[in-house]
Amino acid sequence: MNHFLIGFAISSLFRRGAKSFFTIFIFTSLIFLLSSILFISNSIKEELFITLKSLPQITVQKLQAGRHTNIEISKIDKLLKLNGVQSAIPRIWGYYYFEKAGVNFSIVGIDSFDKQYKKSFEAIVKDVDFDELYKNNSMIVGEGVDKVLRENYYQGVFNFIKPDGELKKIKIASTFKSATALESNDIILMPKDLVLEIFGMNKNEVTDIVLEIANPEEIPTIAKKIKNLFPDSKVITNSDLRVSYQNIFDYKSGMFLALFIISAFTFFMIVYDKASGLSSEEKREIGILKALGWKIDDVLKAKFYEAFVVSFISFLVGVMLALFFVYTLQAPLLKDIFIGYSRLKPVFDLPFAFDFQTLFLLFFLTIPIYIAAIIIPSWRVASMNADEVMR
Amino acid sequence: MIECKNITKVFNQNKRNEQTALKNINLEIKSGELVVLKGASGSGKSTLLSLIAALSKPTIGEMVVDDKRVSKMPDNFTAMFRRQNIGFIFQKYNLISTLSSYENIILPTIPSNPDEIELDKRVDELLKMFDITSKKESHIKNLSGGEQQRVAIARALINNPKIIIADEPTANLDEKLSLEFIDIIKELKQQKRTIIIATHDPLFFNLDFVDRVIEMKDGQILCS
Amino acid sequence: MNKLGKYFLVLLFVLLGLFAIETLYMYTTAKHHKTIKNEFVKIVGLPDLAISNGANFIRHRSYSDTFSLFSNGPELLEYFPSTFTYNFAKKNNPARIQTP
Repeated sequence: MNHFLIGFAISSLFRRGAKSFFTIFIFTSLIFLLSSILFISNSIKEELFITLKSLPQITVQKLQAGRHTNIEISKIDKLLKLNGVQSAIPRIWGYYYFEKAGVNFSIVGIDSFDKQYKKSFEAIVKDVDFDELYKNNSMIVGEGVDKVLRENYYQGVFNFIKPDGELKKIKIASTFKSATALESNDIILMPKDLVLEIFGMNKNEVTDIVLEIANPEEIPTIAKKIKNLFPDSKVITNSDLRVSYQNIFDYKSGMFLALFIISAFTFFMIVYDKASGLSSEEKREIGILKALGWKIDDVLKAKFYEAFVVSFISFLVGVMLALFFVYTLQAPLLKDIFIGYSRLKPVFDLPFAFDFQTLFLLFFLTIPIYIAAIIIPSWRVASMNADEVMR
Repeated sequence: MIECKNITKVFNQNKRNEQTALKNINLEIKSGELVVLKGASGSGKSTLLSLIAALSKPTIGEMVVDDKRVSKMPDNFTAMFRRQNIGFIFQKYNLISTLSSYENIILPTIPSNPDEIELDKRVDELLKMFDITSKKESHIKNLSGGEQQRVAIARALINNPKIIIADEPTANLDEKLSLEFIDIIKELKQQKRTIIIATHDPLFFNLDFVDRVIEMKDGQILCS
Repeated sequence: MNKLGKYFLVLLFVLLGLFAIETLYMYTTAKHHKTIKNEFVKIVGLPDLAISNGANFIRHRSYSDTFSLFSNGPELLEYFPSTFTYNFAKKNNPARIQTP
C-alpha cells in the first residue's frame, strides 16, 4: 500500500472541492433513496412472513359463475374424510362498507367468546374483561376502526345496517393492542351469530373452510384432491399466499428499481461524459505526472483511490441516512407509497429487517460502475505519449 | 552516455499536416558534459530533448541513454527510466498549481513509495539549497516566477538523477534571476551531472563551464 | 501520508464505526412483537396487512377473485391484475410452489 499515492489521491479530491462535493452529494442521495425503498419493502415483507406460518395451510372457497359465493357447511365432512386433513374449520368473515367514512371494515366471526380463547385474548386485546365480553354480545375492533368510528360520533357502540335495512347495535368491548396494528387496524372481531345476522347469510353456509394438515409435505397433494373432489372450488395454499406477497412487493420495489436504474444511468453518463472529456487541467496534470516518471498504473491507482473514496463514503453515508430515515423517522412520505393511501391508515413501526443481500446488491450495482466511469477515460489519457498531453 | 543514432522525428505522419521536426540527427553526449542546444524556436530543440527524456519515441533511428535503448522500451519502462535517471526542467515549469511546493517536489518519488523520514530530509536539503525553505507549504499559485522555477528544479533533482534536461529555462525570467539560474547550473555541473540545456538566450553561449554549444536549424544540427 | 489523507482515513473508520454502531443499535432495539402478532393471526386467519397494497379495500388476498370484487372503491371495478392469487395451475399440481 503506497500511502503517498493515497495521500495524493485524497488531496486531489480536495483540490477539486466543489466538483467532488457535488459528486458525493448526488451519489449519496441516490444510495439513500434506493436503500430506503429496499429497506421499507424488506420490512413489510418481513412483517408478512413473520405471521405466515400461523395462517391456515389450505383455504377452500367456492366459485359460482366465476364469482365467490358462500360454501356449504356440509362439505366439511367430506373434506375431513381426506387422508392427512387434521381439522376443517368453517369461517365466516367479510367486508362491511362504512359509507359515511368511505372505508371498508373487515368483520371476522369466531365461534363465540369461548373460554379456549381466553389466553390468546389476553395477549392481543387491551385490558379485556372476558366474562363481560362473553355475556353481552359485543365486538373487539382494531385501532383504526375505533378511530374512524369515534370521528363519526360512535362512542362505544356502532349501528350496523343489515341487508334488510334494520339496524344492529353492537357494543365495542375493547381494541386490539397497538403492537398488532399492522394486522389488526381494520378488523372487527365478533361472535359468528352476529356476523351471520349482519351479512344476512344462510345458517348452513360459510365464507370459506380452512384446513389444518398434519404433514406440510402433503399440502400440494391434498390441494389437488380437493380440486378433484369439488371442481367448483378454489384452493389456496399457504405457499400461494407467500408467492402472492412476494410478487406484490417485488412489483413495487421493482418499479423503483427501474426508476433507480434510469437515474443511475443518467448519473453515470454525466460522470462519464465529464470524465471522458477530462478538463484540460486534468489532462495536463496526468501529462505532468507521466513526464515525471509515473507509470500508467500509478496514475490509474491514484484515480482508483479517488473514485473509491468518493463512492465508498457516499455509500456508507447514504445507507446510514437511509437506516435512520426508515427505522428511526419511520420513512415519512416514502412509506405511503408502499402502504397506500387508504383512509384507514394504520399507525405502526416498520420492523427492523437488515438484509445483507440487499446491501451487497446495492454495493455492486453502484461502486464498480462509478469507478469504471472514472478510470476508463483517465486510462485513455494516460496511455497517450507524455509529451502529447502537455502540448 | 547519450547517443542519438540517425534520429528522425515526424509528427502527424501520413496526414495532411505532416511535419518533420528532426532530420537524421547523430549526436553523442558524454557523461558529465554540459551541452547547450541553441536555435530559434521551431528548430527542433524541444523535440530532441523529449526524445532523450523518452517522453516520446523517434520515428526512425535509435536513442541510447546510459546504455539503454530507450527508444525501444515499452511505456512502463520508460516511465521508470525517467524517474530514476532524468530530471526535466520544463519551459513552463509544469508544476501543479493547486499543490504546495513540498507536494510538487515529491511528485516524482510517489510511485516508488519512499521512506517518509529520508524523503523529508532530502526535500529540506533541496529547499535550503534553493533558498525556498520558507515557501515549503505555500501553494504554487502564490509563488513568484523565480520561486516557481526553483521549485521545478528541486523537483527535477529529488530523485538525484544523472541527467538534467532544461528546456528554455530562462525564457520567463528577468536577467537577475537568469544569472541566479546559471549559478545553480554551475553547481550542478560541479556535481558531475550530465546537463543539456535548450535555449536561445545568449547568456549561455559564452560561459566558461559550458563544454559544447550545438546549433540547430530546421531539425538539423548545424555545427558543434 | 499527508495530513488530509490521515484525516480522511480517520473519517472513513469513524464512518464505518458509526455504521456498525447504528446497525447494532437498531438490531438490539428492534421490536418485533412476533408472538403477539402470530397469536392474532391465528385467531383472525386473515393474512393481509391492513394496508392497501394495490388491491385497495381488499383485505384477504385469498378472497380476491379471478374477476375481482373491489378496487379503489367498492363500487369500482378491478384494474390491477396482480392483485389475485390466481390459480392457474394444472390439475396435477394445484399449488404453484411446493411447500418445502
